[in-house]
Amino acid sequence: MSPITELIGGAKAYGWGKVLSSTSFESIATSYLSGGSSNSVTFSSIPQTFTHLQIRCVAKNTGIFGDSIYVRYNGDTNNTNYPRVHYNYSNGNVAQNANGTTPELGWSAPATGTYGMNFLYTANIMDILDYTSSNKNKVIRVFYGSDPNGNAQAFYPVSLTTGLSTVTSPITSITLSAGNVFAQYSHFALYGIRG
Amino acid sequence: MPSGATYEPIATQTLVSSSSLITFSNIPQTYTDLVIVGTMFPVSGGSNNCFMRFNSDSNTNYSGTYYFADPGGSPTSYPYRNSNQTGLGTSYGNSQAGREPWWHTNILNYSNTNMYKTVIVKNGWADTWFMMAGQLWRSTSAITTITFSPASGQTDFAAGTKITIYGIAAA
Repeated sequence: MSPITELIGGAKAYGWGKVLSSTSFESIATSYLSGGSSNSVTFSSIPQTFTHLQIRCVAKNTGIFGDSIYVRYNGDTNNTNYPRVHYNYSNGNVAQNANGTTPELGWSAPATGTYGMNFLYTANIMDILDYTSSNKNKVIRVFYGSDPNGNAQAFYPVSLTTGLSTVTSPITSITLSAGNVFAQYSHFALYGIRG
Repeated sequence: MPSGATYEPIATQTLVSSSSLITFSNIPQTYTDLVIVGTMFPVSGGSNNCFMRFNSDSNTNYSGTYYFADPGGSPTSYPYRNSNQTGLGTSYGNSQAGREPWWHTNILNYSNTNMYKTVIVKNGWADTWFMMAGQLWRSTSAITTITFSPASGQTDFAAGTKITIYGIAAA
Protein backbone atom coordinates (compact mmCIF):
# COMPACT_ATOMS: atom_id res chain seq x y z
CA MET A 1 0.00 0.00 0.00
CA SER A 2 1.42 3.34 -0.97
CA PRO A 3 1.55 5.96 1.72
CA ILE A 4 -0.65 8.98 1.30
CA THR A 5 1.56 11.94 1.77
CA GLU A 6 0.39 15.44 1.13
CA LEU A 7 1.03 19.04 1.84
CA ILE A 8 -1.94 20.21 3.78
CA GLY A 9 -3.14 23.72 4.41
CA GLY A 10 0.32 25.13 3.92
CA ALA A 11 1.71 22.90 6.62
CA LYS A 12 4.14 20.13 6.06
CA ALA A 13 2.85 16.71 6.91
CA TYR A 14 4.13 13.27 6.33
CA GLY A 15 2.67 9.81 6.20
CA TRP A 16 3.91 6.31 6.55
CA GLY A 17 2.34 3.39 4.84
CA LYS A 18 4.12 0.47 6.36
CA VAL A 19 2.06 -2.66 5.89
CA LEU A 20 1.83 -4.87 8.92
CA SER A 21 2.75 -8.42 8.14
CA SER A 22 1.38 -9.53 11.49
CA THR A 23 -1.47 -11.97 11.48
CA SER A 24 -2.68 -10.93 14.90
CA PHE A 25 -6.02 -9.77 13.47
CA GLU A 26 -7.43 -12.11 10.86
CA SER A 27 -10.60 -12.42 8.91
CA ILE A 28 -12.33 -15.72 9.66
CA ALA A 29 -15.60 -15.54 7.75
CA THR A 30 -18.12 -13.10 6.27
CA SER A 31 -21.83 -13.25 5.58
CA TYR A 32 -23.25 -10.62 3.24
CA LEU A 33 -26.97 -10.71 2.53
CA SER A 34 -26.57 -9.48 -1.01
CA GLY A 35 -29.44 -11.53 -2.37
CA GLY A 36 -32.13 -11.00 0.24
CA SER A 37 -33.12 -11.13 3.89
CA SER A 38 -32.38 -13.74 6.55
CA ASN A 39 -33.64 -14.55 10.05
CA SER A 40 -30.17 -15.20 11.38
CA VAL A 41 -26.51 -15.58 10.56
CA THR A 42 -24.36 -18.35 12.01
CA PHE A 43 -20.59 -18.60 12.10
CA SER A 44 -19.74 -22.24 12.72
CA SER A 45 -16.54 -24.28 13.04
CA ILE A 46 -14.82 -21.27 14.53
CA PRO A 47 -11.09 -22.05 14.82
CA GLN A 48 -9.77 -22.30 18.36
CA THR A 49 -6.44 -20.74 17.51
CA PHE A 50 -7.18 -17.13 18.48
CA THR A 51 -7.48 -15.43 21.85
CA HIS A 52 -10.47 -13.17 21.18
CA LEU A 53 -13.12 -12.74 18.52
CA GLN A 54 -14.55 -9.61 16.96
CA ILE A 55 -17.73 -9.32 14.91
CA ARG A 56 -18.19 -6.22 12.80
CA CYS A 57 -21.60 -5.81 11.20
CA VAL A 58 -23.95 -3.33 9.64
CA ALA A 59 -27.52 -4.42 10.13
CA LYS A 60 -31.04 -3.46 9.20
CA ASN A 61 -34.20 -5.41 9.98
CA THR A 62 -37.27 -5.65 7.80
CA GLY A 63 -39.66 -4.35 10.46
CA ILE A 64 -40.99 -0.93 11.35
CA PHE A 65 -39.00 -0.62 14.59
CA GLY A 66 -35.36 -0.79 15.46
CA ASP A 67 -34.66 -4.17 16.96
CA SER A 68 -32.12 -6.07 18.98
CA ILE A 69 -29.58 -8.51 17.65
CA TYR A 70 -29.46 -11.64 19.81
CA VAL A 71 -26.08 -13.31 20.22
CA ARG A 72 -25.99 -16.97 21.16
CA TYR A 73 -23.15 -19.46 21.41
CA ASN A 74 -22.86 -23.09 20.38
CA GLY A 75 -26.52 -23.33 19.45
CA ASP A 76 -27.61 -22.69 23.04
CA THR A 77 -30.86 -20.70 22.87
CA ASN A 78 -31.76 -21.02 26.55
CA ASN A 79 -32.06 -17.42 27.77
CA THR A 80 -31.22 -18.44 31.32
CA ASN A 81 -27.66 -19.00 30.10
CA TYR A 82 -27.43 -15.34 29.07
CA PRO A 83 -28.52 -13.80 32.37
CA ARG A 84 -27.13 -10.28 32.38
CA VAL A 85 -26.75 -7.37 30.00
CA HIS A 86 -25.81 -3.82 30.89
CA TYR A 87 -26.36 -0.87 28.59
CA ASN A 88 -24.99 2.65 28.51
CA TYR A 89 -26.97 4.31 25.79
CA SER A 90 -28.42 7.46 24.30
CA ASN A 91 -31.13 7.96 21.74
CA GLY A 92 -30.55 11.68 21.51
CA ASN A 93 -33.33 12.44 23.98
CA VAL A 94 -32.39 10.23 26.92
CA ALA A 95 -29.04 8.97 28.20
CA GLN A 96 -29.35 5.99 30.50
CA ASN A 97 -27.63 3.08 32.12
CA ALA A 98 -29.83 0.00 32.32
CA ASN A 99 -29.77 -3.73 32.91
CA GLY A 100 -31.35 -6.51 30.86
CA THR A 101 -31.80 -10.23 31.29
CA THR A 102 -31.72 -11.60 27.75
CA PRO A 103 -28.95 -11.68 25.15
CA GLU A 104 -30.16 -8.55 23.35
CA LEU A 105 -26.78 -7.12 22.54
CA GLY A 106 -26.60 -5.47 19.15
CA TRP A 107 -29.01 -3.33 17.18
CA SER A 108 -30.53 -3.22 13.73
CA ALA A 109 -32.19 -0.19 12.19
CA PRO A 110 -35.80 -0.35 10.99
CA ALA A 111 -36.44 -0.61 7.27
CA THR A 112 -40.04 0.29 6.66
CA GLY A 113 -42.95 2.38 7.85
CA THR A 114 -42.86 5.71 9.64
CA TYR A 115 -39.61 4.98 11.43
CA GLY A 116 -37.68 3.38 8.62
CA MET A 117 -35.11 5.19 6.56
CA ASN A 118 -33.86 3.94 3.25
CA PHE A 119 -30.19 3.03 3.12
CA LEU A 120 -29.68 3.43 6.90
CA TYR A 121 -27.99 0.54 8.71
CA THR A 122 -26.73 0.28 12.28
CA ALA A 123 -23.03 -0.32 12.83
CA ASN A 124 -22.09 -2.91 15.48
CA ILE A 125 -18.70 -4.02 16.80
CA MET A 126 -18.77 -7.01 19.15
CA ASP A 127 -15.76 -8.29 21.10
CA ILE A 128 -15.92 -11.74 22.67
CA LEU A 129 -13.03 -12.27 25.04
CA ASP A 130 -11.17 -15.50 25.79
CA TYR A 131 -13.69 -17.48 23.78
CA THR A 132 -11.75 -20.75 23.97
CA SER A 133 -11.70 -20.89 27.76
CA SER A 134 -13.42 -23.91 29.23
CA ASN A 135 -13.45 -22.69 32.81
CA LYS A 136 -14.94 -19.23 32.74
CA ASN A 137 -18.14 -17.52 31.74
CA LYS A 138 -18.09 -15.65 28.45
CA VAL A 139 -18.19 -11.88 28.29
CA ILE A 140 -19.05 -9.80 25.26
CA ARG A 141 -18.68 -6.06 24.70
CA VAL A 142 -20.78 -4.42 22.00
CA PHE A 143 -20.52 -0.90 20.64
CA TYR A 144 -23.25 0.11 18.23
CA GLY A 145 -24.78 3.21 16.78
CA SER A 146 -26.47 4.95 13.90
CA ASP A 147 -28.40 8.15 13.38
CA PRO A 148 -31.63 8.93 11.49
CA ASN A 149 -31.07 12.69 11.00
CA GLY A 150 -33.78 13.57 13.50
CA ASN A 151 -36.35 11.01 12.38
CA ALA A 152 -37.71 8.50 14.94
CA GLN A 153 -34.66 8.91 17.12
CA ALA A 154 -35.75 6.30 19.67
CA PHE A 155 -35.12 3.51 17.18
CA TYR A 156 -31.55 4.54 16.44
CA PRO A 157 -29.62 4.52 19.73
CA VAL A 158 -25.92 4.56 20.37
CA SER A 159 -24.79 2.16 23.11
CA LEU A 160 -21.85 0.56 24.81
CA THR A 161 -23.14 -2.75 26.11
CA THR A 162 -21.73 -5.63 28.13
CA GLY A 163 -23.24 -9.10 28.18
CA LEU A 164 -22.61 -12.16 30.31
CA SER A 165 -23.14 -15.75 29.27
CA THR A 166 -22.79 -18.69 31.64
CA VAL A 167 -21.70 -20.86 28.73
CA THR A 168 -18.33 -22.15 29.94
CA SER A 169 -17.43 -24.39 27.02
CA PRO A 170 -15.25 -23.00 24.23
CA ILE A 171 -17.25 -21.11 21.64
CA THR A 172 -17.29 -22.99 18.36
CA SER A 173 -20.30 -21.33 16.78
CA ILE A 174 -22.03 -17.97 17.09
CA THR A 175 -25.53 -17.20 15.92
CA LEU A 176 -26.74 -13.64 15.41
CA SER A 177 -30.52 -13.55 15.33
CA ALA A 178 -32.71 -10.65 14.38
CA GLY A 179 -35.69 -9.79 16.55
CA ASN A 180 -37.39 -9.44 13.18
CA VAL A 181 -35.51 -10.37 9.99
CA PHE A 182 -32.17 -9.04 8.78
CA ALA A 183 -32.71 -7.01 5.62
CA GLN A 184 -30.86 -7.26 2.35
CA TYR A 185 -27.32 -5.87 2.33
CA SER A 186 -26.79 -6.46 6.03
CA HIS A 187 -23.15 -7.46 6.39
CA PHE A 188 -21.51 -9.59 9.11
CA ALA A 189 -17.79 -10.24 9.41
CA LEU A 190 -16.02 -12.40 12.01
CA TYR A 191 -12.39 -11.81 12.93
CA GLY A 192 -9.92 -13.56 15.20
CA ILE A 193 -7.46 -11.69 17.41
CA ARG A 194 -4.33 -13.36 18.70
CA GLY A 195 -3.00 -12.71 22.16
CA MET B 1 -11.73 -20.15 5.94
CA PRO B 2 -9.27 -17.70 4.43
CA SER B 3 -6.83 -15.93 6.65
CA GLY B 4 -4.14 -13.29 6.38
CA ALA B 5 -3.17 -9.85 7.57
CA THR B 6 -6.42 -7.94 7.48
CA TYR B 7 -5.84 -4.91 9.69
CA GLU B 8 -3.42 -2.59 7.96
CA PRO B 9 -2.37 1.04 8.25
CA ILE B 10 -3.25 2.99 5.14
CA ALA B 11 -1.76 6.36 6.02
CA THR B 12 -0.76 8.65 8.84
CA GLN B 13 -0.54 12.41 8.89
CA THR B 14 1.35 14.28 11.58
CA LEU B 15 1.37 18.04 11.58
CA VAL B 16 4.74 19.69 12.00
CA SER B 17 3.08 23.11 11.97
CA SER B 18 -0.48 24.31 12.45
CA SER B 19 -3.08 23.71 9.77
CA SER B 20 -6.76 24.26 9.09
CA LEU B 21 -7.14 21.20 6.91
CA ILE B 22 -6.05 17.57 6.97
CA THR B 23 -6.85 15.46 3.93
CA PHE B 24 -6.66 11.75 3.21
CA SER B 25 -7.34 11.13 -0.45
CA ASN B 26 -7.24 8.18 -2.82
CA ILE B 27 -8.43 5.86 -0.08
CA PRO B 28 -8.18 2.34 -1.47
CA GLN B 29 -11.46 0.52 -1.95
CA THR B 30 -10.01 -2.87 -1.12
CA TYR B 31 -11.05 -2.98 2.53
CA THR B 32 -14.41 -3.50 4.21
CA ASP B 33 -14.11 -1.06 7.11
CA LEU B 34 -11.96 1.90 8.05
CA VAL B 35 -10.66 2.69 11.52
CA ILE B 36 -9.40 6.19 12.22
CA VAL B 37 -7.39 7.00 15.31
CA GLY B 38 -6.17 10.42 16.22
CA THR B 39 -4.92 12.84 18.79
CA MET B 40 -5.83 16.35 17.75
CA PHE B 41 -4.78 19.59 19.38
CA PRO B 42 -5.95 23.15 18.89
CA VAL B 43 -3.57 26.06 18.48
CA SER B 44 -5.21 27.84 21.41
CA GLY B 45 -7.05 26.52 24.43
CA GLY B 46 -10.71 26.16 25.16
CA SER B 47 -13.36 23.91 23.72
CA ASN B 48 -12.89 23.28 20.02
CA ASN B 49 -14.86 21.17 17.58
CA CYS B 50 -13.93 19.97 14.15
CA PHE B 51 -15.70 18.33 11.24
CA MET B 52 -14.88 15.13 9.43
CA ARG B 53 -16.21 15.17 5.87
CA PHE B 54 -16.31 12.64 3.09
CA ASN B 55 -15.62 13.11 -0.62
CA SER B 56 -15.44 16.91 -0.16
CA ASP B 57 -19.18 17.05 0.63
CA SER B 58 -19.82 20.15 2.76
CA ASN B 59 -23.59 20.12 2.32
CA THR B 60 -26.01 19.38 5.17
CA ASN B 61 -25.87 15.60 4.76
CA TYR B 62 -24.46 14.75 8.19
CA SER B 63 -26.03 14.04 11.59
CA GLY B 64 -25.35 12.34 14.90
CA THR B 65 -26.70 10.84 18.12
CA TYR B 66 -24.44 11.32 21.13
CA TYR B 67 -23.85 10.04 24.65
CA PHE B 68 -21.71 12.21 26.89
CA ALA B 69 -20.19 11.27 30.23
CA ASP B 70 -18.75 14.05 32.33
CA PRO B 71 -17.79 13.05 35.87
CA GLY B 72 -17.65 16.68 36.90
CA GLY B 73 -21.00 17.60 35.42
CA SER B 74 -24.56 17.45 36.60
CA PRO B 75 -25.96 15.16 35.39
CA THR B 76 -22.87 13.06 34.83
CA SER B 77 -24.25 11.66 31.57
CA TYR B 78 -26.48 13.32 29.02
CA PRO B 79 -27.75 12.87 25.46
CA TYR B 80 -27.37 15.07 22.43
CA ARG B 81 -28.30 14.89 18.76
CA ASN B 82 -28.02 17.04 15.71
CA SER B 83 -29.37 16.97 12.19
CA ASN B 84 -28.49 18.40 8.79
CA GLN B 85 -24.92 19.26 9.73
CA THR B 86 -22.16 20.14 7.29
CA GLY B 87 -19.83 17.52 8.76
CA LEU B 88 -19.48 14.90 11.48
CA GLY B 89 -18.48 16.67 14.65
CA THR B 90 -15.90 15.75 17.20
CA SER B 91 -13.96 17.60 19.85
CA TYR B 92 -10.29 18.42 19.70
CA GLY B 93 -10.51 20.00 23.08
CA ASN B 94 -8.02 22.22 24.76
CA SER B 95 -4.28 22.35 24.63
CA GLN B 96 -3.68 21.85 28.32
CA ALA B 97 -0.78 19.48 28.69
CA GLY B 98 -1.83 16.00 29.64
CA ARG B 99 -5.38 16.43 28.41
CA GLU B 100 -4.86 15.79 24.76
CA PRO B 101 -8.09 14.53 23.23
CA TRP B 102 -8.09 11.06 21.75
CA TRP B 103 -10.45 10.04 19.03
CA HIS B 104 -11.34 6.57 17.69
CA THR B 105 -13.70 6.09 14.78
CA ASN B 106 -15.03 3.15 12.81
CA ILE B 107 -16.58 3.53 9.36
CA LEU B 108 -18.19 0.24 8.44
CA ASN B 109 -18.77 -0.80 4.83
CA TYR B 110 -17.31 2.49 3.62
CA SER B 111 -17.32 1.40 -0.01
CA ASN B 112 -20.78 -0.20 -0.05
CA THR B 113 -23.00 1.72 -2.49
CA ASN B 114 -26.19 0.11 -1.20
CA MET B 115 -26.23 2.01 2.09
CA TYR B 116 -25.65 5.34 3.77
CA LYS B 117 -22.39 5.47 5.69
CA THR B 118 -22.68 4.92 9.42
CA VAL B 119 -19.84 5.96 11.71
CA ILE B 120 -19.44 4.99 15.35
CA VAL B 121 -17.00 7.06 17.31
CA LYS B 122 -15.52 7.41 20.78
CA ASN B 123 -13.80 10.58 21.86
CA GLY B 124 -12.44 11.79 25.17
CA TRP B 125 -9.99 13.75 27.24
CA ALA B 126 -8.10 12.26 30.12
CA ASP B 127 -9.84 12.92 33.44
CA THR B 128 -12.36 15.25 31.86
CA TRP B 129 -15.04 13.66 29.72
CA PHE B 130 -16.03 10.90 27.31
CA MET B 131 -18.28 10.89 24.28
CA MET B 132 -19.60 8.13 22.03
CA ALA B 133 -21.80 8.63 19.00
CA GLY B 134 -23.54 7.08 16.06
CA GLN B 135 -23.12 9.37 13.09
CA LEU B 136 -24.50 9.33 9.58
CA TRP B 137 -23.48 10.58 6.17
CA ARG B 138 -26.53 10.45 3.95
CA SER B 139 -24.82 9.26 0.81
CA THR B 140 -24.51 5.89 -0.86
CA SER B 141 -21.23 6.89 -2.52
CA ALA B 142 -18.09 4.98 -1.70
CA ILE B 143 -15.78 7.03 0.52
CA THR B 144 -12.60 7.96 -1.33
CA THR B 145 -11.55 11.12 0.52
CA ILE B 146 -11.73 12.13 4.18
CA THR B 147 -10.98 15.62 5.43
CA PHE B 148 -10.75 17.17 8.89
CA SER B 149 -11.21 20.88 9.46
CA PRO B 150 -12.10 23.08 12.43
CA ALA B 151 -15.74 24.15 12.70
CA SER B 152 -16.52 27.77 11.92
CA GLY B 153 -14.72 30.14 14.25
CA GLN B 154 -12.57 27.44 15.83
CA THR B 155 -8.83 27.53 15.93
CA ASP B 156 -6.48 25.55 13.67
CA PHE B 157 -5.05 22.14 14.43
CA ALA B 158 -1.72 22.51 16.18
CA ALA B 159 1.60 20.88 15.40
CA GLY B 160 1.66 17.39 16.84
CA THR B 161 -1.84 16.55 15.68
CA LYS B 162 -1.66 13.02 14.37
CA ILE B 163 -4.27 10.94 12.55
CA THR B 164 -3.92 7.39 11.22
CA ILE B 165 -6.32 5.52 8.97
CA TYR B 166 -6.40 1.73 9.02
CA GLY B 167 -8.18 -0.64 6.66
CA ILE B 168 -9.86 -3.87 7.76
CA ALA B 169 -10.54 -6.47 5.10
CA ALA B 170 -13.20 -9.13 5.46
CA ALA B 171 -12.91 -12.63 4.07
